[in-house]
Amino acid sequence: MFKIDDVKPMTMREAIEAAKIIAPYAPELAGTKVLGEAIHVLLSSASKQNAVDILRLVALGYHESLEVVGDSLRKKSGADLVALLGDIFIRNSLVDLINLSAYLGLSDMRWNDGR
Amino acid sequence: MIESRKFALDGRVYSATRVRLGQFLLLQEARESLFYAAVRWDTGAMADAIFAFIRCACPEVEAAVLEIASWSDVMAAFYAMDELNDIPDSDRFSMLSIPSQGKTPAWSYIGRVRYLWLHMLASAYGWTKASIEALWPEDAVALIQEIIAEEQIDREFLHSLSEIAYPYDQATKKSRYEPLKRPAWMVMGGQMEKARTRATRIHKVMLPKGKVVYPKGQEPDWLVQD
Repeated sequence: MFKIDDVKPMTMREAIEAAKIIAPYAPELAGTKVLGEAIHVLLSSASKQNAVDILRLVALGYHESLEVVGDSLRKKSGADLVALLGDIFIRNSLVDLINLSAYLGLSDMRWNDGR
Repeated sequence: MIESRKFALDGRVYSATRVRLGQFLLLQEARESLFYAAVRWDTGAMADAIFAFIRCACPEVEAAVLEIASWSDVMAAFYAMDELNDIPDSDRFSMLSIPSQGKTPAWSYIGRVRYLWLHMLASAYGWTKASIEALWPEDAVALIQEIIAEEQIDREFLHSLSEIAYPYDQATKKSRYEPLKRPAWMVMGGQMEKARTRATRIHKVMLPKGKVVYPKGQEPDWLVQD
């Protein structure tokens, strides 16, 4: 059901929600250099802390409910999930989301602060 | 100084000009609301504060447009409006460049700063609300800095007349004048104070010994003249 074309840029309210989800992972994400590495870090950190965060990000990116996303992802592989997140963060820059969460004071780290 | 900025939202280009004090204080109120909403992690209130900021700086933008526009465009508009309405050369005002250490009073609320500024300017000059709101923000800051400085100097004079200003020192068996403490921005100074060259004292063990040999072409002027 998920296609790249389905990914639309988030609205402001959705982006703030995404920034809130990303905020706890910002210290680890801030030190990454490329999107693929950032997604890998996000997935491994979320699996240890709160795996639902990934579902919530996909739901926000595809403007779908959490239930629909949960059902659809059950049939998908890990590589599919990485591709889905990649699409979301290309349309909604992950760097800008990290910086948004820092600007709002939800996290202490901007993207390049990890260098 | 930037006088106007353009930004695009949902395919339409908007143009905004710098705001006067009335709108400027409403912008500060929206910023304050954003700060408090972020402290509570309240998504709705954060978005509402960002929208209020943009609509205050550019009333032409409709609320419905902000709801559907992409967040990157909304934030680009927010940053553009923020930059446009920045107080030009704000570092010349020492009151702005040195943050206040004072605690927020118990009777404070979001938007109080607006009434505080109006109250200070109206009390000092007897101007109407409309004429105060028509000032440029930098003029208002300069006037408020003068009002606060004058109040402080008056308070220092009254303090010097009171007994509290001369505490008794048990060790010397004398009373010593203790001036009223000044706010940090009046002590540390602004642009003029910072620009003044200060001599840096260097301990003699740190100074070079014997004849100093400079690289060719890099000799100091006084050495070349000799």
